[in-house]
Amino acid sequence: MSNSLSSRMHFTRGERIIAVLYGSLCHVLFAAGVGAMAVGLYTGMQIGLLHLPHRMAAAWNSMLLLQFPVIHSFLLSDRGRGWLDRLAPVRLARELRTTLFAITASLQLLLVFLLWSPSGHMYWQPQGWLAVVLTVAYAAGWLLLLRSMYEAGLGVQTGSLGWMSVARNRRPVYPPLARRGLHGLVRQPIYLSFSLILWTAPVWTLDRVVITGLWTVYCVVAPLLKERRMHRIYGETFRRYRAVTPYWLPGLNGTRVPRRHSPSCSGPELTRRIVIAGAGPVGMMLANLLGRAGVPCTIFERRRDPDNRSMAIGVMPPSLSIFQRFGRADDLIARGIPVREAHVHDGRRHLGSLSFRELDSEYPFVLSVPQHETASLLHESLRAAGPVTLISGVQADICSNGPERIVPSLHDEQGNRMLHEASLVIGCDGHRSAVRHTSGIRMHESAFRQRFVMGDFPDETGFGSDVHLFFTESGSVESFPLPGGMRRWVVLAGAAEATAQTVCERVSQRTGLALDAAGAKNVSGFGIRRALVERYVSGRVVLCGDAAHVMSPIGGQGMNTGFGDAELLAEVLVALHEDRIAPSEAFAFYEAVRRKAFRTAARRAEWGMRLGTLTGRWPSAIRSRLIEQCLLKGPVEKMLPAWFSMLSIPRISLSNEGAHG
Amino acid sequence: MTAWLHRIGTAVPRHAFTQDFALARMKEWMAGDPRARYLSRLYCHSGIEKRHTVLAASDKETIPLFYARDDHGQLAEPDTKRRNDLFIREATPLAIESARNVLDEAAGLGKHDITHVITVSCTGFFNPGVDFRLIRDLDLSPSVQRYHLGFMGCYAAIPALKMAAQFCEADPRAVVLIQLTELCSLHLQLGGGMDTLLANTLFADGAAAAIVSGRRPMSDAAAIRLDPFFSTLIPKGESDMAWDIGNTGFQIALSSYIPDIIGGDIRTILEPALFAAGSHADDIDLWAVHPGGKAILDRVQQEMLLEAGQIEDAREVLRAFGNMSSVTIMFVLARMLAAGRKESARILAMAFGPGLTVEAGLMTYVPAAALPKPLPADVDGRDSHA
Repeated sequence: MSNSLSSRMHFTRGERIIAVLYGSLCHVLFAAGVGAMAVGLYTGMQIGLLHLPHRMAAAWNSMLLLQFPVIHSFLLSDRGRGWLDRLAPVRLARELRTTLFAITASLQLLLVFLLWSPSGHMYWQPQGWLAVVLTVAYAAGWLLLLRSMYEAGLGVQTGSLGWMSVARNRRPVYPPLARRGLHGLVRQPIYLSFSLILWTAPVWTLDRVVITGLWTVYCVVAPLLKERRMHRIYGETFRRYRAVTPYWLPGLNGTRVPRRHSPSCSGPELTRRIVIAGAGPVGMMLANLLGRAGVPCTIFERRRDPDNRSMAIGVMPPSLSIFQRFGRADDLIARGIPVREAHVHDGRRHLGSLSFRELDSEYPFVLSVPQHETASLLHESLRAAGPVTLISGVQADICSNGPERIVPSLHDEQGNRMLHEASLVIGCDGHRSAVRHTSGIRMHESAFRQRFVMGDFPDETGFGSDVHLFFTESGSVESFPLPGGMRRWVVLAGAAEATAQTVCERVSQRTGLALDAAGAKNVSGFGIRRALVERYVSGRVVLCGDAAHVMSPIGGQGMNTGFGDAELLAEVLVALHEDRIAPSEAFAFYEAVRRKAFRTAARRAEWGMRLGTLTGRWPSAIRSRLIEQCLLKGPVEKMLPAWFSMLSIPRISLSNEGAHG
Repeated sequence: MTAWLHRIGTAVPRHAFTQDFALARMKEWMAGDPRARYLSRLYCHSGIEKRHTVLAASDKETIPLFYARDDHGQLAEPDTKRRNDLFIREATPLAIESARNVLDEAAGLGKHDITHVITVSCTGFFNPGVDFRLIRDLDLSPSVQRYHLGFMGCYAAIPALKMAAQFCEADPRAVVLIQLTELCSLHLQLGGGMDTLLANTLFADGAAAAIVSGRRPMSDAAAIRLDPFFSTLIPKGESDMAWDIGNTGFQIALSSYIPDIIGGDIRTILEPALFAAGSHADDIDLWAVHPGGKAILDRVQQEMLLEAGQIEDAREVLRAFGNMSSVTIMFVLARMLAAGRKESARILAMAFGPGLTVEAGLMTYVPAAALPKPLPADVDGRDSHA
């Protein structure tokens, strides 16, 4: 969906406080409204604050019942939204929309159930086990409602998305179209479970009959309007979803596709025409490994020319041994700088060092090499890789996907099509993966508040090939060697602009070192996100690398985790190609192993980042002590290098040889 | 009088297909045919990755092609008229696009400068044809002299260049626009023998245009000087390659011995011809061999002891575009012209076709810096002419 870097907003302190107040009001009302409804329905609407005479009561109750659907639907229309926006300060209205909507809906519910005037006509009240059964069904209805709301995005449903976005200074990001779980059974599970609640409440009074009848009609009709809106927002994605999922009752209209199931064909059939989307380092690594094993594949890359931006620079020992599988580790090492020592400082003194020399690996160092060098080496080795075809300038989207068949849509920027057969599509197209997006795989995402600015400067420090980390009370500075007499500097920069000047100022303030802003290259700012897909495999789509996960770049583990994905996926695909494993088993294994590897790596990256970005005098002093006394001393010191170089992340392979260096 | 190949413009249909796609379709269409077992081997060793075709022009999800099955599950084979109608519809836009890419007002090679138009095609006919439409749609002078080289086959680009060079020799002010359009995919055949099976793996659509003139090139871009041409025949290959008109499209005879026939005779053909032109095979830096198929390139490279880099442009064109008949060699020359070489290079362009005809031309790539400087008088001369 939208990019979190560009979604930053700036609200004043006052505005953010207002948002929090709106939020509190919203959640209190929401809880009260839902509570009143649960109790009211359960008791058959026999409780109510008003006791009007019969005729009056009938009119009043009908009005209460009708206002809910009428206002609720009105507020979802364009004009209704305009009305809603008047309920909050102008600058916040758009952002607070979900919150305002939840407030009004909760108020309406409260009105209905508090101001109800009970008629006193009792038709039937179940006793004994029947009462128990109905009560259980009623509770189940509520659980289903909760589950559907969770799938559709609790933030939107409870109104927290709006006020929390403002409080966090960012634009609200609406969740993608929910299509799995209950939403895979029917398109409107919220309305369905709501009617279930209406019908399973045990006590049948006159009031209850009326409310159940009227609101059930509403539950069937209202989603029609809602779907028009969804069609507008999600377009083709929604149309496809609508085609395979029934509206309201499971099993009616719409042809159910068993989405969860793995491809039904044999491994060799499945791997006959593998398409890799994206010729980044991970996609090309996968192609190299597949090609050398004699498994044909075709890579489609959106860009026409190589990407020369320099992002990831650290290549860890396990990744080097993957390069060595096709004999290119030494060529890569020749293009970079092996880092054997990392030194940690606080603002005043040297806290200790970390040495990679003793690593239990063929490559006892971390290689610092610009990403475009890694990519170009992988590209060169593709030529010798066997049956691999690389076609540039063509983007891969998924047109339709299922266990039986996949139809990719391959096209260039002008919409010119490339016709190609695919039996399986591997999405290696990065964190904004078009393959993931168009095949509807959801990604759970969270953002951190830390922001960094990085830049590459001519190296005048004399630090040589060592890494230096400065964890000071005003923020962190990290300095890595680069080939060609350059050094990369990464500084914690808060909201400061991403300029060379920012880097120079922070470095000089925190370390006393002077950088020359004039020689800076590759200056860019970045925020930290963590994201993981709901599933790595769906139908005939498999995700790999950043398309499946994003982690903090601090620590340099993202690309290396991607290489790990590619290594295992290649092994799994080769086994499928040779018919040694069943598709369902193969993909379940791939997903389980790589999900775990991601979690481990991401946890470490975040742990390191949190420690490194603590600011303020006391936290900083405690950190210095911790690093000096616990981390770079004693037993932990022995573990840390393997930890940082990712050697301690198990590389489980199909043959189950377990970890190896 | 020296003739210069100033600029080459190329164009391909919007949509393309990979060789994998073609193989899958062909397997589907030929299901049950005993020859289908050769398909994988033929397609996988073709040296082609993708080809462009006008047949995918509709918005359908898969290639519509004319080989759709009818209601009875039979493959419907379109007749020659339907194929030629498609040629009439699709050839002009592609031809115009390639010609637009080559006209350059700034370099004095604009629409008003053109004096001759030579059109080339062997995959479709209509009249008023592409030559007429070029004049109409590009607003060339109606008095432009028009010539069409039809049905010659894959080698037709060389006779067209030769013809243009002779016009320039006869008239120093001549500026010749050569335009080649081939829509080979229109003549896809399912019946027939191994010939058509092989042809189906190779042929593709494309168009190219070139400007040849005796005027000195403007010195901001490289150009190719046209040196002596020569042609010859290898009569023993007469039955191995042919092109004629059938009821369901044009039909090809294309035997798999052609690479061997060419490979076996190439030295004996080239050496005397090059000697007569005062040159030698070792002097040739770049070989613009018509990439009729991967095997032809392999044999030429092997027989003439070429380094991979000397024939790489032909291989790259084959890889990315397939065999576009007469158009293909212009794509090869266009690549050589665009590579930005700083030094002059001797080129041998060579193409083969029915007969077996061998057409070749010596050329010299001249980088911008080494081009003769235009004299003020030249500029004046041109202006007065325009």
